[in-house]
Amino acid sequence: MLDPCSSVAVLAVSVIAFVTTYLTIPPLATWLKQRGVVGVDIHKLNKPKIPEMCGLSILAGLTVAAFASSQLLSVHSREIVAFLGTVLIAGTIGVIDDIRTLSPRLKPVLTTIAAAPILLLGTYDPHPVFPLVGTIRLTILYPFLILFAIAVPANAVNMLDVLNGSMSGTLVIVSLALGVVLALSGKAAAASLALALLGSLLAFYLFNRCPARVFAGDTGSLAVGAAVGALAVIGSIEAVTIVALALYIMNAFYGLASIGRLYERREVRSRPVRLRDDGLLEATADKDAPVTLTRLILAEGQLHERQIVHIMLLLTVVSSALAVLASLLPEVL
Amino acid sequence: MRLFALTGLVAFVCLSVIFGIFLLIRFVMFILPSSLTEFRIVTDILRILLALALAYGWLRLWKTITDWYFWRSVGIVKTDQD
Repeated sequence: MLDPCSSVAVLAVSVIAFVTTYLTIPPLATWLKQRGVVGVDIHKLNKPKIPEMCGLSILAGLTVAAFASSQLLSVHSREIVAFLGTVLIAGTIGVIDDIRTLSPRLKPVLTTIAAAPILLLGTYDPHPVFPLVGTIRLTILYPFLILFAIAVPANAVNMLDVLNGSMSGTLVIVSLALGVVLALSGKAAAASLALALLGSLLAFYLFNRCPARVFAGDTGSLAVGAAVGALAVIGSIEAVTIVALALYIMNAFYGLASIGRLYERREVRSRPVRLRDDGLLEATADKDAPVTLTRLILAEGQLHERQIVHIMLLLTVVSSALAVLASLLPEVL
Repeated sequence: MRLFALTGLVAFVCLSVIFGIFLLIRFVMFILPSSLTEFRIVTDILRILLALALAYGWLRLWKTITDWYFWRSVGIVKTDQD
């Protein structure tokens, strides 16, 4: 458990991340829109053009918060540098993907590069802790698994950034759960980074929720996914993070299993959902379309985009609560 | 009904991860003990390969349950609309 002084510092870092992200979004969105960096909101009848790549504001929030964290906590600065390095590399790959679309096979490979700061700085413990099981020794293999620990959440988060507020809203809940788990285990630096992520994402959600005024783009989704993976490794909460990210894992696996390979949303001809004339979304009955999470939610009938995201938020509350409970389970093996 | 089914599905996935890891590690450790070979790395790789195979089996089970729920629900909705 964190001491009162560290708790205040961790909360201050979260507020700093929130304020930085909140203040940088409007000027960044205006600047991007003026330069034509926009994406079409395909789930609206009037198809508005929304500024893309506004995930750069999340990167700004996390960068400022990371420096604040190192000043306020003045411990484990290597962990903070490794976290920030991972996020910035993943964000850079996202920028490249936003400007010039990367192939669906190249993107996951490139995101493994984001694991480099963690590996180079050695900010990991090769003895991951599992609920009920306790510590497992993976001295030699663990560094290789870190590549997946960063690339998988980065790309899974990228795959669920399909509706207004779906990525930012659900990850606010996930980062809160991870922050609670890290705070309960007394890991001040990692907890501050989790709450910095929460602060940044909450500020972003206010602009990204339905009807969205900004899009994160691959810049934001890859960076935020890599941030969650980095937290799991740096904080040694791998299994807990997997449980919290259940929704993302389900969505990614269902999509991959339906298509049978890695794919880019744009290249899927059979659409999983369709926009009706009344502005509601409904699942298509196309057998070739992937059974994504959104399509699954729409299986029992049409809904408004906002209602779908609310269901996603509710389901994330369930998975995050189970993740926190899992972290408290005693070792029985 | 929709919320109930989806919450049940997410809870099933989460609980199968939590208890699945426990059973998986216990099973893998039991059939592949540390004394299996004199090289730790070989045992570790075999353990991870077996664990991945079992985890893939679970993922297929999730997919089967999801597909059943999805196509059944879509079928009911389409029948109602017709």
